[in-house]
Amino acid sequence: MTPDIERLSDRLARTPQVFRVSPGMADAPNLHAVLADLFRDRARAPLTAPQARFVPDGEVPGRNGHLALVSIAAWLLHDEAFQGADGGALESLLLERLEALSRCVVARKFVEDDARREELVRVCLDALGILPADETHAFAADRLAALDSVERQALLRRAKDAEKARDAERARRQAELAKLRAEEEAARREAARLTHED
Amino acid sequence: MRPLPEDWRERAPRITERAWSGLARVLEHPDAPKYNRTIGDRVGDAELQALDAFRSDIERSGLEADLDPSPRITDWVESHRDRLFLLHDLPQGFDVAKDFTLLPTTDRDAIARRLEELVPRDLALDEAIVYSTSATTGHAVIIPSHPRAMVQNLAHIERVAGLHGVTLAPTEGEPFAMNASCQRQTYVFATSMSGWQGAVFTKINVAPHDWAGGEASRGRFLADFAPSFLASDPSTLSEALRLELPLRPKLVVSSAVGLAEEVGARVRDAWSTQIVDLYSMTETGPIAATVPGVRGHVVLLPDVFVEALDPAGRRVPDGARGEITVTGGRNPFLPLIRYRTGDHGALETVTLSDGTRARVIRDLEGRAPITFRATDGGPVGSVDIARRIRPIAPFVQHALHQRADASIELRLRPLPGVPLPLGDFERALRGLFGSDAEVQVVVDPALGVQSAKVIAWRSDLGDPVD
Repeated sequence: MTPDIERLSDRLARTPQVFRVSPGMADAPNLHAVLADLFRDRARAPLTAPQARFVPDGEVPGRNGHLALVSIAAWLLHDEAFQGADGGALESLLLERLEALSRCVVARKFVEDDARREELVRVCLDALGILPADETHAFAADRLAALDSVERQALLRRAKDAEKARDAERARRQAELAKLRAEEEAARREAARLTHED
Repeated sequence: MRPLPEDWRERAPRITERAWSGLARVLEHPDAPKYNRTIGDRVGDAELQALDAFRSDIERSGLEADLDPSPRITDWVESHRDRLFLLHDLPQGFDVAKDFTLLPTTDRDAIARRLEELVPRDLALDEAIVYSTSATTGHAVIIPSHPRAMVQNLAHIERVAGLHGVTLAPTEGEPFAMNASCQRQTYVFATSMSGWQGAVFTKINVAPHDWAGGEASRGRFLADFAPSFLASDPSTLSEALRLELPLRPKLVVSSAVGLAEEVGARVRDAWSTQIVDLYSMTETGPIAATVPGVRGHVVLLPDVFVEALDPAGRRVPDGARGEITVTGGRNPFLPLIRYRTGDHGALETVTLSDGTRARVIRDLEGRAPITFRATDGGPVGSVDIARRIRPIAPFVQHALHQRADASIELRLRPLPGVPLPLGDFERALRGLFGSDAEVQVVVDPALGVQSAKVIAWRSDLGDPVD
């Protein structure tokens, strides 16, 4: 199978429900098993224990968005176009690039939205060093940058300024709440003093 | 009669002369407890309007009755997106209704360490009333709340009372409601309650050291005050029965820790009263309450959504045990976004006698179920132990501790006058842990007397080998 962008985007659009169940639900697929299958079928080497470690055993709330995207990407990566993927590159794609992506866009959008589907396909191909069918390196890089940058770069610039203001606001708030706590503790001590007069 | 002092107008903006005269009688009662705080209800016109609005809300609105939250809840979360640092980093395209299970969860630790993420950014803190509860580390956790949220809880109590066949009829200036605990140190005060017609409320400490005239004063004061409504906890209620305190309330609401059925039955019989086990915590406000004819605790608040999560934060299906996690509420300073309570239970939907569909929490247990180890190395679950020991004989509270050498100690606080067949408890534990298990069962009348929160299950062993 060729790494055709349109065909792979189409595959994403048809992601079976089982891969789309949010890891926030108890009937979500077992990601360990899904990833083990993926490495066995598509990578040059099976999933190693250290590689498997990033999938939580049940102790890491707050990573559901990332894991939701890993689950969707696992379906895409099972396509034969990804046959012979390098294990290390696959690991860093799942672990790092998808984590970064999941912070920007909710996982569901990579199935529902045209541009996001193309972005995920291109990110996966790029991470594994596969050139899209009928494209030059330069074109593929440009297209990925376009998808990637249009919204996000601008967003990042704005986010940086906003973040500074937010950090200051947050610090102010923290101080206000610390003061509130100190006042409450003082009041408690006072009540204790009144209760135990000796 | 003393005229209404100006400072009380500030503490209780809606207090009337008549309400004040009743309150003054309680404050100046010759046998009054040693009040250590002067606190008013801080209820003004806006708060009373909010109470009335919530009364009609409870009357008219349906309850959350499904596994997924209704638009009321998801819209409410959506409305907090720009107001909470917690939700600021939700990714692009995040839709609360579709992606609810991907929302971050919060817990007590978040309140302790990063409260600024949980308190809406746009709210000035001047109006906050602050509660503190000490965590197990001893470090105080503060919970900012608002007088409005506190007074709105009365509407919930009224609804619960109604389901128990009790009509609460507070009267301006008359003693009506009491909160009783039994602690080494606690706030002791009295105020008028504008939300309940200006009736008088007092919070007392049953412990004799908080009464200038000791036990005799306490008895006379309680007989005079004669609360119709009593809020307390199982430990204090047992103590009140043992001391035969002169109380005859129409409705008793027990909270803080779970109420053992036997303790509830005793209170009901001794005082000819109705008793409610209220599941509530300072962080969340009321969540659920027992209702006649329904097993478990029913969520009766139209603005509270409850789900049960596994340790990884995944929602479990109905009927499966999980950590009770709450979204919603009406504390403007602490809107609950998937707040993990640390308590466990299984959820289901029931239909109440009036046809309302509601969520019920079955087998509510404080803290995570703990697994102990049998002598053969196999696991023994705290839920199983509870099921085996509870039917043996009624007791108030228990604390089971497995030491590092695998020996087991079960401490039981007896109900006054009810002997505990220690041999039967030992046999039940050996049945679970193995016939060669080293088991000790101790009667401890002081268990939970100093603090209502007793650690019911504790193990010094690591996790059992699979």
